[in-house]
Amino acid sequence: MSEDRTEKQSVTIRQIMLETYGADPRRWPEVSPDAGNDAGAASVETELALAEAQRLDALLDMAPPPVPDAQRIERMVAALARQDDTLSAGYSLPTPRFVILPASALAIAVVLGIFVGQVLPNSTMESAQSMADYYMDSM
Amino acid sequence: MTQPTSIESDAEIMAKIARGDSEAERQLIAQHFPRMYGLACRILADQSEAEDVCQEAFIRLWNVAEQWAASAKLSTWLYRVVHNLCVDCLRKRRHFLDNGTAEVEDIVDGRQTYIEEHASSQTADIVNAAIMALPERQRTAITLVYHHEMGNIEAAEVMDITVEALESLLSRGRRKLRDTLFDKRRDLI
Repeated sequence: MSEDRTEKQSVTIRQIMLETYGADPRRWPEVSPDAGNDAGAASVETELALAEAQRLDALLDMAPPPVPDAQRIERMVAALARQDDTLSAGYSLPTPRFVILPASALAIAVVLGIFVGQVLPNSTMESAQSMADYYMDSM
Repeated sequence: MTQPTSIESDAEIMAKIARGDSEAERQLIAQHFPRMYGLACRILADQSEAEDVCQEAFIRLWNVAEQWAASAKLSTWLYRVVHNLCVDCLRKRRHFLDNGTAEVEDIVDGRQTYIEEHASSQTADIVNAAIMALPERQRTAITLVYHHEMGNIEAAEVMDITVEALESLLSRGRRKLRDTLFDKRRDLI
């Protein structure tokens, strides 16, 4: 009975490993040393899980994450070398694009606001003032 | 795949970088940038943003070079910074998109659309599209553990989750991929 239970547990662990980490036991975490290699732990379900894991692994092997080409690596080295030069010259670090764009938009909005305030003709300003007065009176 | 460096050699490299050794910087970039970039591309689906994120991660590393703890592992630290920066980028994207633009639905319901629009007769393209259609945390887990062969403890540390949570992401991600790839395209292997 206890041998059956141990074998069932081993089958379950093996199936979980296959479904979670794939078919290659080298990717599996440290588990019972028998879980990966025990021939006695085979079952129909485990064999099916192994076949599916192998099939999915083969597909995943066809689509690895992108790798930067030599030009992109050199660009990174050059960009970071410029950072070092900038730091040693006592200037602040250039900021990556995802900070620059929102800050630029805010700066442009401020400049436009000042420009519009300076350029609008007096009549427009008077209309705006009379509208403000109207709403104030109606409150 | 680059071999992981020992913690001792990480400390040596960081000491050199703290002294301004440009050759050590170049070696470190050459060693770690490819996998950092791959992870960032997988999360962000944007090569330019991925490059920016990696640059920011290296800048942050240079800034802590003098205080580098000898017990820390460089690759884990870099991966974790890249992952966190990518998550921040995704949050900013959602914030901008949530302000009434039509693209919100494209992003939120984009999985099926992505597969249909980007699938081609090339198996690799189909598989890549299926991976990119996974939720961000599932494809991050699969990229770290499967493609980058990172151990489960280190991968959980990079994502700041428990090992159990990581394994849940892996099994759900693999199940989704099986459902997508095995059912839709029976001629794939």
